[in-house]
Amino acid sequence: MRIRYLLFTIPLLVLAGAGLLFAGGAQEEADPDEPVTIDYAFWGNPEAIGVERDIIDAFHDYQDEVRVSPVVSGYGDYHAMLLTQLAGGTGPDVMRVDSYYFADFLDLNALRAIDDLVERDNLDLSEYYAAGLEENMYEGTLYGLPWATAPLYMFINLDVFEERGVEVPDYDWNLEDFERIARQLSEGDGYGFGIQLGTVSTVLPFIWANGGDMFDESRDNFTMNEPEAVEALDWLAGLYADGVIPEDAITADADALTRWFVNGEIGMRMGSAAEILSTQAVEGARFEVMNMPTGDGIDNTTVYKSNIIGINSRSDKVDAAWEFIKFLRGPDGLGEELYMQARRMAPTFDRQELWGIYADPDLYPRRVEEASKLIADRYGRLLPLRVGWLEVESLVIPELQGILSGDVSAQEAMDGIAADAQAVLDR
Amino acid sequence: MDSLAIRKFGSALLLYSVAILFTLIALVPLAWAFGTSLKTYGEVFARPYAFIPLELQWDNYAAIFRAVPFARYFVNTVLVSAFACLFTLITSAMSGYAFARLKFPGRETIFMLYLALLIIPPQVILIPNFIVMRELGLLDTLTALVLTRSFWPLGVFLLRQFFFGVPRELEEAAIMDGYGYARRFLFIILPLAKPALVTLFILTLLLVWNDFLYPLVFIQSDANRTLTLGLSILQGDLDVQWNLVMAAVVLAISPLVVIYLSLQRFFIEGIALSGTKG
Amino acid sequence: MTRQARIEFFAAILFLLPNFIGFAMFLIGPAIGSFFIALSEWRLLDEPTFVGLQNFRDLLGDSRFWTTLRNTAYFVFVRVPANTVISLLLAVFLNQKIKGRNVYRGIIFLPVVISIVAVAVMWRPLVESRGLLNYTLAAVGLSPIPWITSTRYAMPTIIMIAVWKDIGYFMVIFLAGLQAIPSMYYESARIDGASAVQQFRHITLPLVSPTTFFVVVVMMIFSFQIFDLTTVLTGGGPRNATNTLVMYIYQSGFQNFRMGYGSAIAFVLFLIVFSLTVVQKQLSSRWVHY
Repeated sequence: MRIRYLLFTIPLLVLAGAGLLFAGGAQEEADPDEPVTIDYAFWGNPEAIGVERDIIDAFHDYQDEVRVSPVVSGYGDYHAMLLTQLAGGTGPDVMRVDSYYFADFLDLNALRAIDDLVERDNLDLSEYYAAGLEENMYEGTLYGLPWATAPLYMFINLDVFEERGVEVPDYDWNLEDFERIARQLSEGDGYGFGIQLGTVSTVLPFIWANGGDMFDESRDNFTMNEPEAVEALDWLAGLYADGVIPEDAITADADALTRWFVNGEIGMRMGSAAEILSTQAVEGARFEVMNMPTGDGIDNTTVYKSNIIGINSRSDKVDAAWEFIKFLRGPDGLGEELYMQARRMAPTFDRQELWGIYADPDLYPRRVEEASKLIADRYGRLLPLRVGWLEVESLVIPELQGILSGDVSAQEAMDGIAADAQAVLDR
Repeated sequence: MDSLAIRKFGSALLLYSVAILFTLIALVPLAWAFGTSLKTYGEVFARPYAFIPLELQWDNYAAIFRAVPFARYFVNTVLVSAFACLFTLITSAMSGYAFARLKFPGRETIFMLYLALLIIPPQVILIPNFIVMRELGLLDTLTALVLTRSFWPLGVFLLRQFFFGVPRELEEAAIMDGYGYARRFLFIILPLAKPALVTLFILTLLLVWNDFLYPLVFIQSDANRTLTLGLSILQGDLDVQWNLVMAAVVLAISPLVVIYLSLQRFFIEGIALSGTKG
Repeated sequence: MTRQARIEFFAAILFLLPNFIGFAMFLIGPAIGSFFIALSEWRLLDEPTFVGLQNFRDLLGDSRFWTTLRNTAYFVFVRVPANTVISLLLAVFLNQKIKGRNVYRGIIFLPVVISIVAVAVMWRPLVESRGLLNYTLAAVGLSPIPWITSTRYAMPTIIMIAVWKDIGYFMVIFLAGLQAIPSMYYESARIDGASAVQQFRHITLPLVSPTTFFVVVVMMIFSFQIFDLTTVLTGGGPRNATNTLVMYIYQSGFQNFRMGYGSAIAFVLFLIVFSLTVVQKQLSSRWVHY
């Protein structure tokens, strides 16, 4: 009968043993001579992570007081991971937050204001492109330093344009120019313009150019059911119905756009700095980037977006975290230069030597510097981000799919969700 | 005689054509994925439909090891899977035996409760689970991953179903020989349940090996990361190198394929065993 | 209780204990926790406030909840029968003595082990409007199908891919179940002149029924949790046609910052699936032969 006891004790012993085997990471004792270790959370793929590691290494070489331990995941799961950790009462000291989530994070006091730190250390903020800083402010207070301030460009496939005998437009092109060019490009087998409806950012430029927007000035009222926005959406649906936009645009992802673009199936698309990289990976791809078409007296129609590097409001290592952020994103830190060398994104500061590193005049898109600066000065516009942005977006996107495919008119679709969207804004 | 031969031929034809058809259906997308794993990054976009790359980029497989500490992730995944499978098999077999063969008050109610646990979507208990692990001081340890996957209601259900099929006469004979519950379970039931245990092992291995949500939130440091987290990092930004992702997928699943193929013979052993019973 | 019954009761407790401890800590405890969250308003980074049944009342008037519930039900009720029938038939076929049996079994199992993201990436070029499937349709003179761009075809396409991926999973379970059927039953049936179809109907189906019950219940439970495939392949589109309950739960919690509401949806989902499971268990006495 001994065997019975064995049967029940063995699994429990093995369980306990395994617990001891793996359990580690006992709480570190604070020691004034030891360097402070901070956790720094960000998203990225191996290349992007490599850049971050280089910067962390450089930071370790630069000083001895602070050690940085990276917390990484892929973008798709990053914010869920971060939110779980924060909700569970832990979380990194320094974190990157996508500006889509920024207002919600701030509304919940997740980030520490840094105005006092900026003032204490006399950090010169004038060199930052203004839009990046603005996206790091909430109700007039600065909560972080900008990371990857960049436009969503219009990509132009030069081969397709030449083949169809269409001239590359000037920066001051408007919606009519866009429509004419897109229709010319779509004659025959190809399409003019590739779009994907994963975010509202892909249709807002056209709504902006037509004088509409997602919300009113105060960002408190949903306005996509007003005539300017509705007209722009119906116009896009018309282009889709006429075969100017590919059928698959309705559920396409960014990769599909890159695929169509480099194969000459579409002549134009919207794309980010990261998509410049994937397009460049295709041998012989000849393309340019520029701003989105403008409207009547409305130049700023190109989405210009940034992200936030901030300090966890519950962190007890504020000084160490701030030292690292200054190195990573500050005007005197080495971070920006290392980012530029990796060519993954355009400069956050208006500084010529950074552009010199980032933009290679022999590599397409050759006009990236010129176009980016024009967008920063004149053609760029921030998304009307606010608390509940993602929830409103999740109401709008399905309707955009319906509008584009012709299942429903823009007015009907937008009126249908207006009350729900407004309820989110009023909450 | 002739009609019998035709019928035999006809059924063989049917058998083979169905088998080959489904094999092809399974194989075509996978062949494409394997082809993609040997393309250059540019060719993924430029020749999306090609099964065979212009030039075979075997270096993609080496590139993964340069990009992420893949070997470390692999070892971690093996460790977590091994322990989680072991515990799931032990605990499920014990519970399954109790539900199938022992009589006790509330048996069906408790069993339904266990089934109900299978219904809870993991996304919902993610944060409570995170808090449990934090309280146990197990965040960022492989133990946390082992523990969350060592107890699987499906295992109880599966083995209960199979234990029902083991002839009661065998156990009754063992009682005559003075066997207690423990010995009957260990020496009569378990040996007969080999195909079921192997099946449960495979299913548990699949669950743990491809587990993503729990590792995502429990694990922080690179040293404790598992393969699925490595895969997520490979797709971590807008410029996803699908050729490398596919190569990583091929590497990540090949141990599972080998294990599955080598365990297939247990299904045949099962036949021989059940032939002997009456 | 007799002495014997007491001993058996005690043994049962010991046999159940290891599993129960684990369930209590990692499933039951967190589930109770999330039930309390469902009764609260919780924006993840603040303190939960108790709101009683408010979240459940909100649900009733939320058209997105009903849409995702309908989509999920569509997925479950088409996918489960289709997948069960195909997996069972394939298991029966591959249980025959045919050449290269292990090769077929091995390859058909392959899609099971591959990660869902890879599945989505490899299927996307197949189901695009100018993709391989439509190319094949055109080659045999059929008109193209808008696989994932029309609200009508998107869910069937998702079901097709889900079945493709999991045929092998349930085939393996059926194969294990088939091993338990004594071969002498088939031998005597053949002597009596029973055809293959008759053998399947009168021997295989009844004797494999405990496994079938398992497969149907488990597949139903898993199918109600459909999340990954729709997230990566269609993102719930077009026009929410493939948006599912668990996607909505995840979105409510981690994007809309409404964990209480998400948990309330999860609780309703739980009740639905649980009652269906109970019904199946009650019905099972009519067709499952132990």
